[in-house]
Amino acid sequence: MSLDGRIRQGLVQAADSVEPNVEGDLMKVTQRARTRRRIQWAAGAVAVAAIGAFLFLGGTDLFDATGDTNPIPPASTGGDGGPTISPTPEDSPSEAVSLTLADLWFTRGEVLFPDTSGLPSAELEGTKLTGEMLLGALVAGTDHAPPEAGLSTSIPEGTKVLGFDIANRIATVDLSSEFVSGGGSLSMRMRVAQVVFTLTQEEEEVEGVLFEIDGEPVDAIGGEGVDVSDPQTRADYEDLLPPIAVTSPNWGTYFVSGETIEGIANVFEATVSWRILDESGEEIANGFATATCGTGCWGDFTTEVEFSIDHSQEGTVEVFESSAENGEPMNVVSVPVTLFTD
Amino acid sequence: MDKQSDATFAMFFRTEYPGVVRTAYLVLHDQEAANDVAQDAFAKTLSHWGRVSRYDRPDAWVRKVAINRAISVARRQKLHIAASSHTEPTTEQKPVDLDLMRAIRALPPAQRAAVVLFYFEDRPVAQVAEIMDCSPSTAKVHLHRARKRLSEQLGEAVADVS
Repeated sequence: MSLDGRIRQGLVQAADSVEPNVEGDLMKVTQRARTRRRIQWAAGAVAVAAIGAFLFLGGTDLFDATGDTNPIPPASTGGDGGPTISPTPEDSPSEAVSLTLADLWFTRGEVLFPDTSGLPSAELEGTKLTGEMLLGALVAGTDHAPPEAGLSTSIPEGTKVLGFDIANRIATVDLSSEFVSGGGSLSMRMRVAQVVFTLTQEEEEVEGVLFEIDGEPVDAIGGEGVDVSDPQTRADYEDLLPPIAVTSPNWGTYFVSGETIEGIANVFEATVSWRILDESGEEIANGFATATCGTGCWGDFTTEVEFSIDHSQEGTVEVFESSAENGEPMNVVSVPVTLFTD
Repeated sequence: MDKQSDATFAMFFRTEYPGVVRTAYLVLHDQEAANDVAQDAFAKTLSHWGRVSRYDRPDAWVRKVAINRAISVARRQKLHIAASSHTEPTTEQKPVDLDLMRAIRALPPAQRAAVVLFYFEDRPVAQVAEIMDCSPSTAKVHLHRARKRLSEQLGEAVADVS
């Protein structure tokens, strides 16, 4: 058989082993298209809701779960026309949460920075993700990211996830003693905040996080003593957020006209500006979005952007605050993407 | 989206999805990743269905999204996907040319995609280029290099792609 014939036959044979679940996947695709992440920020505290989340209760943990998990509150509310799925009795014993989109919170400079690319299938929204997976990917660090992403982590290398448990919307994480090693007070707060922000995403319905080290509950983290005696929430660490955090698009992904820029911001008059730069750095579209809160408080923003290009190319999504004094961009967040033409 | 659009998308999905999953699988060599890439491509298609459904060939559009996503994922695959997640054919499945599949998996992602579109989907070079969003000459280069590497790996003679 010729090489061409062998390639053809080999590929057909290999493809025959794939049996897509067409009807099941049609439902997933429909829900995924409707899914929109939203983080709701209530007065002075974080309200974590399941709006837009695509939750399954039941299924199998993909990550090596090291502890039994308690049932997550059963009801989840599907926003944006999404489903409301309650666990069936059969689902309850082996609960796991699946979600379509999630961020890992690393650091950039001296502030928190959201990122999805460190997930086992970062590009693969929709893969089953569990709290254990998120935590495992978080402690694994930032080796996945190219240097230009500027990602860093305050969680010491070698930190292991020894246990994970959710009860009554409080996650309890058991980490190895490496977690409390090294670093000063900022580093200690930052690493706690990374865990808190990563686990308190609406899809998970986790509001707060308690810490254990080597299996023992702790009231403080590290010699500098970050008080963790109560469940830690996002509100406890808001000061570590940058003025603007872009949660979508993620760096290095494809970005198609009609998609949204999303994130959280605490900017003057809640006005978040954006612009799209093409491969030569020329601005090809711009606009602004209004966050749900601003000038001293955090709000979420989402805006659909339209742009026109004649071929797919590298580009940049820039999100920034216009200076109240002179209109100059400030607190600029640049997200390198591939601008994709349809 | 109205019910008619829902229905036309569902029909489109049922027709095209299996092929896109299989194509993604042949590029990624990972069933779970292939499912996800395909679902992502169709979700994007659904998001733009009002426009995409009016195209001459919506199937080409969804493949374009899926293939480019698959190439992007494949480039990071070695960092993110553990070896255990690869779906090796089992003895219960139909026989697979393992040497060939290993050789294809060793190709750079863009070459892999070109090979799959050309040989598995049986598309002419012009369509391979269109889906991969590159020029026909670039697609031809991908195919030429891929075949050269495959022939070296498999010890077979190679002729040029026309």
